[in-house]
Amino acid sequence: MSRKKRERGHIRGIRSSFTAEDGKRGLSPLRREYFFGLLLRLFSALSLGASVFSVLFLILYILGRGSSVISPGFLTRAPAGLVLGEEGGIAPAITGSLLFSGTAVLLAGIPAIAAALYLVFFCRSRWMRASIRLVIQCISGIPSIVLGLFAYSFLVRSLGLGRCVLSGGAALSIMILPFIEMRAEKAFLELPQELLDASTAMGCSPAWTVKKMVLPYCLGELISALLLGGCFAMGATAPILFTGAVAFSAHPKSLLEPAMALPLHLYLLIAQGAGSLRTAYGTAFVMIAVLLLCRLAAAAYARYRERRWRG
Amino acid sequence: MEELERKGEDSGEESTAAMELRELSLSYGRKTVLDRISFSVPKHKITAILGASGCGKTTLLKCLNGMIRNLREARLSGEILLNGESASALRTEELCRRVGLVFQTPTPFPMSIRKNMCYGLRYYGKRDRSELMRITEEKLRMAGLWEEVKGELDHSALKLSGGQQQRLCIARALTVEPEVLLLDEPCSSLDIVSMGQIEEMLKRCRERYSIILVTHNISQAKRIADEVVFLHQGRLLERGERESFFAGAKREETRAFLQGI
Repeated sequence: MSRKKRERGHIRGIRSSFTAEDGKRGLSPLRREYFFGLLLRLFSALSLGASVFSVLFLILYILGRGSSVISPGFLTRAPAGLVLGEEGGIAPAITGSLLFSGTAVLLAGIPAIAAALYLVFFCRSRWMRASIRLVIQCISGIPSIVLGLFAYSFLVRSLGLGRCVLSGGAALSIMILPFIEMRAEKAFLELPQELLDASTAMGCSPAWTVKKMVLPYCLGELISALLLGGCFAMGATAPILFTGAVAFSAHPKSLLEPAMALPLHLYLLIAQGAGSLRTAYGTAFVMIAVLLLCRLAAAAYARYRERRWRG
Repeated sequence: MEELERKGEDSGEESTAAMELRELSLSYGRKTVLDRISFSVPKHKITAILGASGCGKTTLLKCLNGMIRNLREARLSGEILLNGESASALRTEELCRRVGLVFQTPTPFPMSIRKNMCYGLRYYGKRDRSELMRITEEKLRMAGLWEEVKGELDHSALKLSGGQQQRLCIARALTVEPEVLLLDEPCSSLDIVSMGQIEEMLKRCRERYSIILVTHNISQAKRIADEVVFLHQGRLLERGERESFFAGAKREETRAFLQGI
């Protein structure tokens, strides 16, 4: 290497590979880099292995312990037994959880996607954009139990909605709003700028561009963001604890009735002690299965949409 | 009196100039990108804008079709006349429609060929299917693409080759009937065959549209341009008809560029 190049390396703060001192230390620089690369790869492989193993172990353990309880009856009957839930099934909890998530996705999805659209395509003031982003980040930092408390005092007590699916869904929707917004925003930002420019260059308004190109193009990502938001809501207990979820109820007939929910039911089953632990694993099995299926569906749908145009 | 004379000039030029630039300058903050550019674009001719990379060619095109207005930090001064009408009086969307722009890289929309062609038409309120089909066919024929894609109008436009995609983009730009068509190095990412096809197409389009072609490919300008404008560091150095421009470049910088120095 010429002296000139070495000097430039020093100026940029890059250690030049071949200097006299390195030679004296015994390990040639090339070898040192080789070992460093090796270590890095080893470390990455170990970390990956550890995380994959722990997740797989957790899922398989729960599926293994829970699978013996699963039967058509468990999925279609209401909980029963002296200690509630020891026998019978979890059907009302499944429908309850789906209703809570569905309400939350509906309530959060529309403002979240609208906010993302506004931020990416319509907002021209940097200050405005920064403040909206800040608010959304703040929402994502609120502890879920605080959201539950808020929804309890505001929706359940002040507005008099009572403990019902709607109140619980509203609490959950605040929780998943930033999640959906950020994913939607990312999907919109990934849209090539040239496409948007090409639409503008034909004289089309931003609204037309959003309606005819952005939304159809990003639909896969958006649906998957909504589904994942629903999964997120389905796993949360704290927001619905005081606002809509109850220990036992039949299938709710409207959104203004309280309902059972899988995570709360699971908590109660564990809290009741050893007798109901068997059905607790069954409930966990169902939860994990529903969440995994939702995630798979989300990923598959996003891929399907993308394939359609890539060919 | 002077004003009257100038008006007389305007109306005289209206018949020949599709677009006229008067002292057009553009700056981003303190940086001047375009410096007092004045020239006129004759109707039904191909005007080539030559210049090295970074001399402001693309920016100039964005000024001409008004897209520069969407950049908040851009400061535009001077005047652009579109068929004798002041462009600054037009809304950006109207200006964009009347002055079409095709980009360097092909930008087919992620939808079928048919929907690509109908995208702008539907925006301007055309709903009648047979009318949409007629325009689609007419413009695709003009782009020399009809025979290649007529059986697969409902296939994704992304499945076309690069050259076909670029011809589709030109055809799509023509659907909204612009008066002037701007092309920003439309062949720079294409092979020689596609380049030839696009050049043929532009020669055909010349009969109906006035074309401004930005290119750094000198031989392309020699092949198809009627007028040549040479930009250098944001300033217009020289312009003229093709033969006279290439035969006798007056400025040092122009000669250096033409000789590839």
